[in-house]
Amino acid sequence: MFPNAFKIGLEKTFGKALTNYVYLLPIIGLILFIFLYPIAYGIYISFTNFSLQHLFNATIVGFQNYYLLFQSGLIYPIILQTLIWTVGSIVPMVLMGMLVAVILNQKGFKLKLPIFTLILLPWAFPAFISLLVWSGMWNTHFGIINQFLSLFGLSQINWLYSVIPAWSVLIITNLWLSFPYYTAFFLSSMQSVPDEFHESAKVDGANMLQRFSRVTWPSIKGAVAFASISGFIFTWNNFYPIYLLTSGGPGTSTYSLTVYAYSQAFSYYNYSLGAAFSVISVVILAIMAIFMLKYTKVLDMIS
Amino acid sequence: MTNKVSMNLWVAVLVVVVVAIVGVAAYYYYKPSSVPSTGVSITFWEAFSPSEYNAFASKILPAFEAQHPNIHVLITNVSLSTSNFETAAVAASAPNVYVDSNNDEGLLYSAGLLLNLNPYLGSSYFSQFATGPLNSVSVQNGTVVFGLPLNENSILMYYNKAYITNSSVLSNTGALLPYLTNLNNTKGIWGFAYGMGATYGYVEAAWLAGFGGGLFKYGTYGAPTLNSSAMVNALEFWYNQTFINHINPDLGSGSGVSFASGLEGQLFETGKAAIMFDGPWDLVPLVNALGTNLGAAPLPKVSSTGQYFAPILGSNAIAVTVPQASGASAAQINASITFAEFLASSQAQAWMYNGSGDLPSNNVVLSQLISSAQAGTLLPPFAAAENLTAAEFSGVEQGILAQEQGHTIPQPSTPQMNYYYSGVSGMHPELGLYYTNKTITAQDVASCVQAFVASNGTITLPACS
Amino acid sequence: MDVNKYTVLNFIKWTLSYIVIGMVLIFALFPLYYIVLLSFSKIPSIATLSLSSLIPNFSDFTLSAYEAVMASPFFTWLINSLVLAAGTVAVALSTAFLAGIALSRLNIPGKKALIVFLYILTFFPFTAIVIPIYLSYSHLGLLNNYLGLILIYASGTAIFGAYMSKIFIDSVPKDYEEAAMVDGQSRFMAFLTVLFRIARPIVIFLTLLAFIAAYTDYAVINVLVSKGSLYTLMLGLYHVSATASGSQTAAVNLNIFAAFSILMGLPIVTLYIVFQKYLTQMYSVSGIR
Repeated sequence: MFPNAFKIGLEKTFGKALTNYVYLLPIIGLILFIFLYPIAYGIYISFTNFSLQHLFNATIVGFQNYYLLFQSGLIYPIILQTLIWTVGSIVPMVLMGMLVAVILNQKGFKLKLPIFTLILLPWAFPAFISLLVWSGMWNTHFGIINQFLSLFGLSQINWLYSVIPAWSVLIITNLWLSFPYYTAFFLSSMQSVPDEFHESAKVDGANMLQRFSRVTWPSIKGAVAFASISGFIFTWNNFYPIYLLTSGGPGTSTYSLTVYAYSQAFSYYNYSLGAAFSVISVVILAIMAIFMLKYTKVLDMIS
Repeated sequence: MTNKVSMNLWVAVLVVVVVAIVGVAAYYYYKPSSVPSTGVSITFWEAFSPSEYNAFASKILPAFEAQHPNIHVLITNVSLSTSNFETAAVAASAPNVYVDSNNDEGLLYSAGLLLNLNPYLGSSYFSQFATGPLNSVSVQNGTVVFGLPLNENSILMYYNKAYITNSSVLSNTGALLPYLTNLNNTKGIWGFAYGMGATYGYVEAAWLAGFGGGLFKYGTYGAPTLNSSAMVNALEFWYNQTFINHINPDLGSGSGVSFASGLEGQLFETGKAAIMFDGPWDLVPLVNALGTNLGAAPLPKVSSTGQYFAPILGSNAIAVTVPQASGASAAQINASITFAEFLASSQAQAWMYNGSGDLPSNNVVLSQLISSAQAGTLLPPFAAAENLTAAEFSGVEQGILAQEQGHTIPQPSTPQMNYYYSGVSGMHPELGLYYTNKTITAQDVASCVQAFVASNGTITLPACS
Repeated sequence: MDVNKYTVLNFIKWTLSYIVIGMVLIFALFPLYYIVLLSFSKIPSIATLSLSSLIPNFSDFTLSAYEAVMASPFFTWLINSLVLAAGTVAVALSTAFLAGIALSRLNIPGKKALIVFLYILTFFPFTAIVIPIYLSYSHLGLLNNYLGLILIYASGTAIFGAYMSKIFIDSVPKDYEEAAMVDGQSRFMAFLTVLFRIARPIVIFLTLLAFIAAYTDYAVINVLVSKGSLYTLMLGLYHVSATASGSQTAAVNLNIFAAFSILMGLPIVTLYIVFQKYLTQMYSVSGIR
């Protein structure tokens, strides 16, 4: 693809360091092509009154949209809910992914491969479809989950109408969608730990917990940090579980920033307000992401 | 060290800037190749139901193409996504011709996206349409008509004759509710299949009328009054049917509840509920599912108030997009109007009725329909296919016509109308709070929707709970 | 004594392990079991569903839902989906892998800031950028065009893929490509031939991610594609079950929805089963620390 002569020519002209950018050009070009203009546009319209009533004659209104967001006070609970959604999803996912990986990774575990394959299935199934199926399963009157609970004499729970059940629905469903991903991730990183390490720890008389903390954990903690942070970022913006299961209800109690921005823009056609929500969402996420990447040293790992 | 870091950073920034500039330059340099064509091509977005689409594709479109060989219609099926229309309008690539409900189009017109067809067609042209559907697409006393009504719609009461053997109980709630309670006690059948927690503005307005509330006070244009005792009574009425009388199931909130396409339809079509509220647009699937057991009747009178439940009368209409939103040439605008006229014509509406049961808005077709229903000779192919006799089907159609010709609420398609619709859809979470846990009162729900509608949608509805 | 204690503990450990895994399996598989069961039933809705319908009843076994799916243009949509997914895999994989090589092996000034900057750009959710994307795509003629979709899907996977490849390539000893260079290949070709061969697990992992992104997308394609001939399975599913043009009634037929989902899920599940042994090896060479 890049003949040597061409490369040497480039190096003469631009210097070696700059030539190395050639390898990065495709990804820089791709990301900028998709994101640069839309983001600039999004930031721009968040300072205008662009809405259905001003589709062709939007004017710049300064910080009015941002002022509206903060002054109405609505944004604070939604930020909090976005954190609940993200942390509340990611912690059980990572823990369950880890637990299953540890169990499967035990030496002498039988049927490991077939079980691993079956556990991967929820991840392999199209999430959009799974969510529609789950949404039917949570239905108050006709859902299979309430019918099942009634076997044990429990009364019907209105899963989507009260705050705590609605959050449980979101977190359990999201856990189902994603824990296999973490299992696969962690299991493969655990398998990179040579067996001899475990054996020699055993000989030293270490019990199971000690072996996990001395041998397994140090060798997978990088993978855990990496998976958790990228999962955090993905979940923060994950739109469909909330949109399809609770649509932000009851009241506004399960809206995340992303879902709220979407409904502002596409249900009420307040595009500029939706854009302002998105900008705030990304700013918060970016600050947190940089902090986490630096603090966990994942940044060094990935660059 | 810091020097080196900042130098590195500058190089990275430089690379990003260079790539971005090259990209921007390429963007403006690039010109999409224009497609040469003969005649005029127009784009058409429709969200027809399957039976409507069949009637359109097998009869109406071929006839149009035979009559206007130089107009090419490029058809796209969109599944009811008004938001896609607006996105496309921003990019000046909205379709030339568009079919949607009159309230959606009212909103689009108020945003300046649809043409006023009155100057193009002349006032006398519009006299062929029935008043109700025509009003639903007109503003400013009929000087602005932003769409040609293809049909007329309102909800009505479909019932299962196997359970409601005595149709006289359908006329008022005083007779109906005890009958349904008895049905529930003896046969374990739900009286209604109504998803009150996932209702539409379209449906909610009917209950309001039964308790003396007027959405727009019968023809007065302006913001609807929803913060009223009528609204509270309407909400409480359905609370009572569900949680006190237990003749209506709690179908929950969220999508996929209403009408024949949702849980309501599933309960009704599988014989688990005696009554559902739906419109003429779902006649074909309901005839398919219930066959000779299907009955139709107008909404009942509320015995305690002496007033009728009265649904909003609306329509699906064909509209032409302004050039600014569609990029249309003058020739394309003319072709679009020709196409719209054809779809709204009496011939096309008659075909559409035979295929889909859509109630015509055209006076000639409508009066033919009324007289043959009264004569008991009406039998469109979709009913014949389910072995209904002409007398049986005419009875069903008479029930539908009785509603459309009877107690209805006119629908001025102001933007407020649409904010009322999104207000009611947006209040599903509040309805859930009220209906299920009573953590808020019916009065809270009422004032919340009112505040939303009055603000033209600029306050965000959920903020008031 | 010691041995006894060890055996008892061991027994407890294994019992617990299998109980936990059993529960996890029930949790993971129940919804899928439910879908499979529905797809072979006549049950059209959750309104007619009861607990007893969860026990397979072979006398009610029917293929009618599958026949209804086959009456729709399922295979056209399948081919479209596969074309789209394959294109996405190709673009995502090549950009990510190239970037991974550069990040791992080459001296690139400011790469840390650059790669974080690119990552942050991708934080904007699609729902926030859909209108401007529509605007620019409409200008560039990329509406109703698979290339436009492929670029969007690939941009979602590429950055994450670059990180994964970088971490992986870090762990590959430099001797490998140095040995190849001795053979007289250019540096670039050496990277590719050697790394791509060793990196199979990571390549497969990224392939799956990119494949799923394209194959299961609804949000992006719903806005950018309106031409029926370009429909994918995801749009087709929505079309068949929500507007129900594939069936006689407008009600959502749960059994048809389920049958469609099963058929649609089969290609991905097959990919997973074929590739799952690589998934467990993702790090066996790399040893992420």
